[in-house]
Amino acid sequence: MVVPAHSYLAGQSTEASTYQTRIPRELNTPYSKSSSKNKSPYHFEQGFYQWEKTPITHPVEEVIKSERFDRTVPIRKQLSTIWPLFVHIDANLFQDAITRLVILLLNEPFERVVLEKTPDESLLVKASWHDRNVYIDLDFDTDEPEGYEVVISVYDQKRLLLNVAGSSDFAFGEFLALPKWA
Amino acid sequence: MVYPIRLLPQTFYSCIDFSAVARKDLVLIRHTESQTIRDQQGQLKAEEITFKGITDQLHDYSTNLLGQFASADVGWKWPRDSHLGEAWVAGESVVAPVYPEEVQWVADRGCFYLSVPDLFQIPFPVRLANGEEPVICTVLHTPTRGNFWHCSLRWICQGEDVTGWEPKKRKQILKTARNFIIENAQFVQPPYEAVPELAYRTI
Repeated sequence: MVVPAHSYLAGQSTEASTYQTRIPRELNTPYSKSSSKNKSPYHFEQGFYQWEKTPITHPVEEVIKSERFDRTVPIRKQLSTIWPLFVHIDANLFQDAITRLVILLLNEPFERVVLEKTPDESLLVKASWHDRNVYIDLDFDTDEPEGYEVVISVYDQKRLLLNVAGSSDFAFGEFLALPKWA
Repeated sequence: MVYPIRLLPQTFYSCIDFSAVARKDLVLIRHTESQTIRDQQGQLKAEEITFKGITDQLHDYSTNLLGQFASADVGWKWPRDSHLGEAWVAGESVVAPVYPEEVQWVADRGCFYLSVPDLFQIPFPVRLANGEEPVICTVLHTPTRGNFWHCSLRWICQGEDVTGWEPKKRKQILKTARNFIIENAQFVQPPYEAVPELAYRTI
C-alpha cells in the first residue's frame, strides 16, 4: 500500500504547514502484496489477523470447537422451540429468567439438558450434573418480587440431595453450594 | 367387553394398611393418556404426570396397586363425575358397571410404575427461604366404587396433608413432589407380588 508521507515544517502550525514532498513509501501491511523478504509472519485471512505458526487457525473455529459451544447448541435449539410457548409472559422478565438459567447451565457441567413447558405454565429443565439428576423449575408468577420463582431438586440415584424453592439467587445459590462429589 | 369383577370392592373387603404389610415387592401403576411419555433423554415428561394444573391432581395422586389389578387394566376409564370414582365405604355393595354405557376401554393408554418402597414414608425436605419443611410421601389405600385397588400418593408436611397448606407453600411442595415422581418412575414393569389376601379380606 502506498501512503503519502507528510512532513511538517518545525515551528509552523498545521494550518500553515505545507507539504514539502510527498514521498511515497511502501508499507508492509497485511493488505499489501509485499515481497517475500518483507513478508509479515501475520497474514490477514477471513477478516482476522493470524500468525502462520499459531495452532489457533481461526478464532471463530476455536469457539465452535470448544466444549462449551457444543453444550450451547442443543440448549439454543430447545429454547427457540419453547420460547414461543411463553409469549404470554412479559418478554423482559422471561429473557431475564432465561439468561440467568443459561448462564448457570453453561457455567456448570450440565449434560443431557431437556426443556419442557409444564401443564401449569412453568419451564422445567431436566439435566444431568456430575451424574446426578437435576430438575429446575421456573414458575412465572407476578405475585413474586422477581416475577418468577425457582424450584430445584437434585437426586443421586433416587437419593435426594437437595430440594429448594425461592428466588433465583437463593435457589441457585443453594444449588451451587452442593458438594460436587459424593 | 365385561368389566372385571376382580377390580371391584367386595362387602367382605377392608382397606389395606400399608404400614402393616410387607411392602418390598409392592408396585403401583399410573395410567397416562399417551404412550409416548418419555422425553428425548428417556425421562418421564412432566405433562404426563398431570394433565391439568399441578395442584389439581398431585395433592392426591391416583395410582393402582398391581396384583389383582393388571397392567392392561389401565385402559378402563369412566367419566369424572361417575359414581365409580367416588370413595368406597367399607362393607358397601357395588354393582359392576356396564360397558360401554358406564365404563369405556381406551386401548392406547400408556403407563409407568412406582415401587412402593421408593415412596412409602420417604422424606424429602424442602428448603425455603425461612427454613426447611419436612415433607414426607406416603401411600394410602383409597378404594373407589369402581376400583378396589386404587391408591393415592399424599404429601405430608409437619403431620398435615399438604392440601391444607397455604397456596404458595403447597405449590412449592407439589413441584418437588412432581420431580420426586419423575425421578422414581419406571417404564418397564418391575417384578412384583400381590398384596396378601389377609391384608384386605375380612373373611
